[in-house]
Amino acid sequence: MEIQSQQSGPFSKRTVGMIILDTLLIFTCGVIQTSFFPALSIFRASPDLLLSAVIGLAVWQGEKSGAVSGIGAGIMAMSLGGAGTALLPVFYMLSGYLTGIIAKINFKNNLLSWFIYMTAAAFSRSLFSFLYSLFALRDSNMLVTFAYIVIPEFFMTVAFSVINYYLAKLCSVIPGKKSEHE
Amino acid sequence: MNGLKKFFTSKFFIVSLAVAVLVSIVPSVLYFMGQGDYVKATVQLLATPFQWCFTKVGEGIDGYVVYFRRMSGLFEENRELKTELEENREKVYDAELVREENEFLRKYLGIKAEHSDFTFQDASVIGRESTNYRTEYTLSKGSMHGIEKNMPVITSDGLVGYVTEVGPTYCRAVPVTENAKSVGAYIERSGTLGVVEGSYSLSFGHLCLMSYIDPESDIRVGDVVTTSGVGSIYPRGLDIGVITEVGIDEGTRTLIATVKPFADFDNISRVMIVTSYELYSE
Repeated sequence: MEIQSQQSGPFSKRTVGMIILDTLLIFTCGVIQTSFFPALSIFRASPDLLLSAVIGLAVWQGEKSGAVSGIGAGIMAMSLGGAGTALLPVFYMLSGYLTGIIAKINFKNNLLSWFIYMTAAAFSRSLFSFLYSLFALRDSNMLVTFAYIVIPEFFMTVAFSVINYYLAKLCSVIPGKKSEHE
Repeated sequence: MNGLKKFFTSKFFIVSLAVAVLVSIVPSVLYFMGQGDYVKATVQLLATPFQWCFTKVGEGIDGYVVYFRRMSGLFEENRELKTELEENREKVYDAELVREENEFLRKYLGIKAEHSDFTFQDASVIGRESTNYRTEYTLSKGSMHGIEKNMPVITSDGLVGYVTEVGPTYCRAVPVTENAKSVGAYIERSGTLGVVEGSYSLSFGHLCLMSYIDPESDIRVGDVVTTSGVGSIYPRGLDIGVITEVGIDEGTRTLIATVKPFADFDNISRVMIVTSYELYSE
């Protein structure tokens, strides 16, 4: 990994820049996910842009950024989303942290590698949605859940994650490279 | 394995997990305690204008997308409506034909009642030779239908002209306004006789000329001119037209009059050919 955010000083210029950009990314993703996509009737489900943002930040900045942005994404999802978001901070945090750790070992800087990561993350998200709808919703139907929630959400999340692949990379590049004393 | 264990036992991970759990649980606890969630409210407050903007953008795009998605349906609907429209047009056209025929037959019955000695053959105008200097109608009946040359052609409005040429399934007729055969004419109000004939200069205004009128006779503008049945191919009593102008022929010192025929020569579509009639000798 070329770009890492293991800074020594918590208030270094680069860290502050990164926090601002990451926050902006998470905020924008949360807003778009809860406003733009639901307004488009052609899509049967909104993509989980927050998840792809968390995965992107974890991949490019490491597990700590992944975990923190995961908590932030969870707060965004809970604040802007409706019911069914109660455990999302934990889910996003774990996703970001795990991705950061795994990416350190074997992430290749290309889209294929990105889609493998995103497929795994989106699968976890689908499982989360499926379990939630199965246990938390009354009169839930497994087939309906798969057809109208799980599968569309999975494909939409993976498809639109490519945007966050580049945006998360930008959030890591713009503040500048890690200095030697970091 | 130890390395991985280290990650999940690190202080950072434990703190993060604790925060995440708290963030997940606290709002629910606050909600059940009847307390407001200030973090949620603040985030929502900040996001609201942006959400509004993005929703509008999404709705705008969705409008276009829905429009194009509906296009295929609209094409199909349009095709069906066109077919339906075409069918209805045909029905209206048929109904119009029936109405016209009904009207024609009603008038035909009127003429038949008035002229019980007439026998008719109805015909449609299937062609016109309307050059700059001549008008001629091609009619849909010919020798196969008993049509012969010089048979009078009329409409319910009045005299049209006569048959000049006959084919097996068609015939041609010229109107009285053409400079062709003259018509023995009669003004019923004053009992005045004369001859109606076409005039090259008057034919452009669909008018004809009544001449050889006794200079002592009483004729006025507005008098109705009918066929006299004398010295021509036309039976007696067919309306020709109305006098619009009266003058003197300087050459013969007789009266002349301009006659405006009743028949609308521009819009004739169906005519009746008088195939036989009784001659009167008064």
